[in-house]
Amino acid sequence: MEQVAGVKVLEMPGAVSEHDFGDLLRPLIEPGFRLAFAMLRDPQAAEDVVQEASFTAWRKVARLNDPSRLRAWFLGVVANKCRNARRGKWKVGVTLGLPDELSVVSNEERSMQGADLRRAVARLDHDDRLVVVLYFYLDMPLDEVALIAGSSVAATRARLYRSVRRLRPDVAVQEALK
Amino acid sequence: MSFRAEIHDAIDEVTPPAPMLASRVGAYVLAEDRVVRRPRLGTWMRPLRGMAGVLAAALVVMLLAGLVLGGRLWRDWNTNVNRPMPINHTQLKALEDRPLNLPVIEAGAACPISLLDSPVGPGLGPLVYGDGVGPVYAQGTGLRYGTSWGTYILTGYVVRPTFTGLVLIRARDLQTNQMVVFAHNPVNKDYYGAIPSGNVAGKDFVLEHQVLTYTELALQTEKMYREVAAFWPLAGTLQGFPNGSSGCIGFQVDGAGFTEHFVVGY
Repeated sequence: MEQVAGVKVLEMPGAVSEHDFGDLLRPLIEPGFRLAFAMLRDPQAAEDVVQEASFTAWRKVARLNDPSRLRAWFLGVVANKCRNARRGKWKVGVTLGLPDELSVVSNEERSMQGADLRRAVARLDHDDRLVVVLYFYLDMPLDEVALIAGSSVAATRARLYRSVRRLRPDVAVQEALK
Repeated sequence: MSFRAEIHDAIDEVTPPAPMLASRVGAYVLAEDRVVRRPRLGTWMRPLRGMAGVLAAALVVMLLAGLVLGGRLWRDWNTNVNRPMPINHTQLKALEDRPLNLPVIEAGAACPISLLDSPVGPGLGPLVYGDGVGPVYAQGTGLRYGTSWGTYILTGYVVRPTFTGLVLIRARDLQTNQMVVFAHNPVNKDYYGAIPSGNVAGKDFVLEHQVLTYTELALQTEKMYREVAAFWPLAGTLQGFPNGSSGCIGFQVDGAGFTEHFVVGY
C-alpha cells in the first residue's frame, strides 16, 4: 500500500479486502464524525450517520474506481446521509442540538462569539454549510470540497464566497479564505 | 484570529469526543453486514430478484412440495436448525467445574477494562474490535434493550476457527457481584450454537417476547454461523445486566485447553 493524503491507498482498485477496508476507513471515522456533527449538531445523530455511511461504504467500496478518492468519497457519503437525516421530520428540532450555554466557560466573550458563529453556520442551507465545514473546519482543499459537494471547483468557490459573506459580512472574502 | 480559526474554535467548543466510535462503527458494520448478507445464502433466489411474480410462484411450489413430503421437511428443519442441538453435558459439566476466577473490585474503584484486540480473519468484516484475547472474542453490537429488570445488550461472539468444541461463558459484575444473564435473541429463529445454559435465572420480556434468562452461555462452535466455511464462526446472544449494575463486567471463557478472562466496561 502507499500513502496518499494521509490515507492508505490500495494499489489495485477494487481489490479491497475486509481488513484493508478497515485500515482504510479507520482514519476517516473521526473526520466523518466531525463533519456529521458540524452539519447536524447532534452527537447521537452524527454517530448514527457515520455508522450508516461506513456500512454504505463497505457495501459499495468495490465500485470506487479511484481509491485515492476514498476520503472524498466517504465524506460525500457522510454528507448525503446528513442531508437525508435532516430531511426526516424528527430531525427538525435537532439543528440546534447542543445548548450554546455550554460554550460560555472561561473566556465568555470569545465563547459568545463562537456561539454566534455556530448559529450563523447552522442557518446556512445544507450545501452552503457543507462547503464551509469541509473547507474551513476540515481544512480540505477546494478541489476535494468540490468533489464531495458534487459540483465544479468554480461553483464551489462561488458558493464558499457567498457563504462567507453571509457568515461575516464585515470580513473580506479573500482574507477569510486564507 | 483568522476566520478559519474562528470556525475551528466555534465548532470544536461543542464537539464531544467520540473515542470509541471506530469500535462501535466496526461492530455495527459487522452486524449489519451479517443481516444483509444472510438472505444471499439462498443462491437460488438470485435469478428471481426483481421478479416478484416468479418468486411468488416458486414459494407456492415450495409450499406444495412441503405438503407432499408429509411434513418430513418440516420435521427435519425443525429438528436440525430451529432448535438448539443437545449439548454434550459431560463436556459442559467439566467446563462448569472449573472455578470462576474473577476479581472483586471495590465499589467506585476504576474498572480494569481489558484492551481491545482486533482479530483478523476472513468473514470478520471491517473494523472489527474484539473483547477478549482469543480464541473467543465478544463484540457488542451497540443494540441495547431496557426492561424493568435491567438492560440487555445484543452481543456477538466469534471464535478463532482453529478452535472447535464446546465453549462456556460466564460473567459477573465485578463491583456488585451480580451475575450476568444470557438469553436467546427471540427475534432470531436460529440459535447458531449459542445456547443459554446453566441455571434459569428468571423470565423477562425483551423485544416483545418472553425470554428465559440463564446464568451461562454455551457455544457449540460447529453450529455457529458461517457464511462460507473459511469464515470465523459467529453467534449472537442477549447479555443481561440487572438494574444497579456497575457496568464493569468480568467474563470467563472456558474451553478445552484454555481459559480466557476479559473485562468490559458497559
